[in-house]
Amino acid sequence: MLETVYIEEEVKEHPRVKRFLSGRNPRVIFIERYTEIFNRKAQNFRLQKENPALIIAKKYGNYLHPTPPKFSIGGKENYYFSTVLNCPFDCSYCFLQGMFLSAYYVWFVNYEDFQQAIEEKIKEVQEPYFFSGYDSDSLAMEGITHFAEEFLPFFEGKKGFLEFRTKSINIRPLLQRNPLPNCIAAFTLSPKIIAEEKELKAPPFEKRLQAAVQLQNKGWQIGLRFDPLIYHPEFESIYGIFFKEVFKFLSNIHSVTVGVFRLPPTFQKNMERIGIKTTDTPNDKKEKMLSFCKENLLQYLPEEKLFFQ
Amino acid sequence: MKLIAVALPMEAAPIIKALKLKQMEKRAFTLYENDSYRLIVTGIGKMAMAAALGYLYALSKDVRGFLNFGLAGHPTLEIGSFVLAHKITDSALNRHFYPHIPKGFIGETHPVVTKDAPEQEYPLNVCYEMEASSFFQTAMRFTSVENIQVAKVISDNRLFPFTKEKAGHLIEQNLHSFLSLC
Repeated sequence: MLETVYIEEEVKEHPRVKRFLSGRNPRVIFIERYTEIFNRKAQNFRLQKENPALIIAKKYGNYLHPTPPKFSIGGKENYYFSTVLNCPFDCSYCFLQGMFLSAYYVWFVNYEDFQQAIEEKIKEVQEPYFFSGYDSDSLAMEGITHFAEEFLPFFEGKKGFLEFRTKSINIRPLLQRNPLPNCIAAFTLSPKIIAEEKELKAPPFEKRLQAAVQLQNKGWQIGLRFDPLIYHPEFESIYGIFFKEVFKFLSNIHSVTVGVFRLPPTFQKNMERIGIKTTDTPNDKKEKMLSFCKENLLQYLPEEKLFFQ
Repeated sequence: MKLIAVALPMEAAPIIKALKLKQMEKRAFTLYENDSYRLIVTGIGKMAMAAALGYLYALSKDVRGFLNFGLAGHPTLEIGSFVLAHKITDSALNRHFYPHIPKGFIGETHPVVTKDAPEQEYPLNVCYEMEASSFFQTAMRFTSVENIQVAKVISDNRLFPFTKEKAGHLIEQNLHSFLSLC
C-alpha cells in the first residue's frame, strides 16, 4: 500500500492525478520537482524498498531513448520510454537497485508528451520498436497508472511496435480489447526454483505462465524473456524442464530473448555499497549456458524468433 | 546506537528520564547515554546543532539512527500537537530536505521551516523552529535519509505565545509518540 505520495505542484490538478486520488487517502506532500526527492545523495535503495513512496511528476523532454546495443526483438530502430521509474517487485538481481539511489516510484503523468514523441519518431524512421518496460515493469503498476489502458488505443493502427515487458499478471487491459498486431506482451520468466528465490514480490512462475496463456488464447502475440538466465549448478536440468513446460502451453510466440546476468560496473558498485550481493555468472559458464539454451530453444521455435542479448 | 539531539535541557529532561540515560563524563557538550542511545544537548540554533551533532557522531560507533526532538511554533496547530517533519526547509538558504516517513506512521506530518531567529508572525502554514535543517543536513553526511527523523511538539501558535514554564510538560506529554520513533 502506498502510504506517502509526493505530487509536483504543476500536476496536482491533472486528470490522471485526480483519478489516482479518487478513492485513495494517502499522505500527500506537494513538491516543486521530483528531483528534489528522487535519486538524491544519502538515500538507501534497500531501506526505501521497505516502504516506497510514489512521486507523481511531469517529464520534460528526453521522452525516448535508444536501447542498448543488442536490445532487439527483430526491429532495426529500437527505443525505450519510461512513464514509470522503479518497480514494485523485488528481484534480487534487478539492475534498478544499482541505477537509482532511490526505490521510490516516479510516475510521469504527461502521457501526451510521450505519445507525441512516439508519433514523431514513427514519422522519422521506418517501423520503430518501442519498449516500455525498461526502467520499470510495464504492467505491474497498471492499477495506478492505467498505462496499458491508455497506450493500447494510441498504438492501434500505428506503424510502430510496442512491447509491454512484465512479470505482472495485470493483463486485464489487454484482455478487454482485441489484440493489436503491433503490440506484444512479453513475460519475463524464470524456472520456479529460481523465481521463488530471486524474484520476490513478483507473481509465481505458474501465474505468469497462466497470464501468458490467457493472452495467447485471446489472440495476443507473446514475447518470452529468459533474461537474466541465472546460473545454478544444475542449470541444464532446471532450464531444460522449464523450457519444456513453457512451450507445452505457449505457441503464438512473437520472439524469445535470452541473456545471462550482466551488470555495468557502476551499478554493481552502487549495489554493493548498500549491501546487495551481486552474484555474477562465472565467465566460463556463460557461453555454455547460452549454447545450451540456443540448442534447447530451437526445438520449440525457429531461429529468427530467438534473440541473444 | 541511535543518536538524539535536542536544543534545550528542558527538552532533554523527559527523554533522559524515560530512557534511563546516564550523564557521560563532562565534555564540550552535555551528553547522556545508555546501551542503545546517546543524547546531546546542543544549544539553540543551526551552528550549535551542527557542531554538537558532528561531535556526538565522532564519539559514537555503530550509529543506526539520528533523531531530533524539540519544540516548534505553528500558526494554527493546537498547543501540544506532535508532528513529524515531512519536509525541512532552511529558510536562509531556501534549501529543502525530505525525510523518509517510517512505515506505518499514522500521526500528523508537517513541513518544518528552520529560521535563524525566533519566528513570531507565523506567515506560512508550517512549523517554525531553529535547528532541524542543520540537524538533517549534518546527519546526511553520516547516514541516509531513511535513518534521520525530526519530530516536534507545538509549543506556541498565533493565539498562545511560547512560555518556558509549559515547555518541559509538553515534551513529556508527547514522549510516547517520540519514543515510538526510536
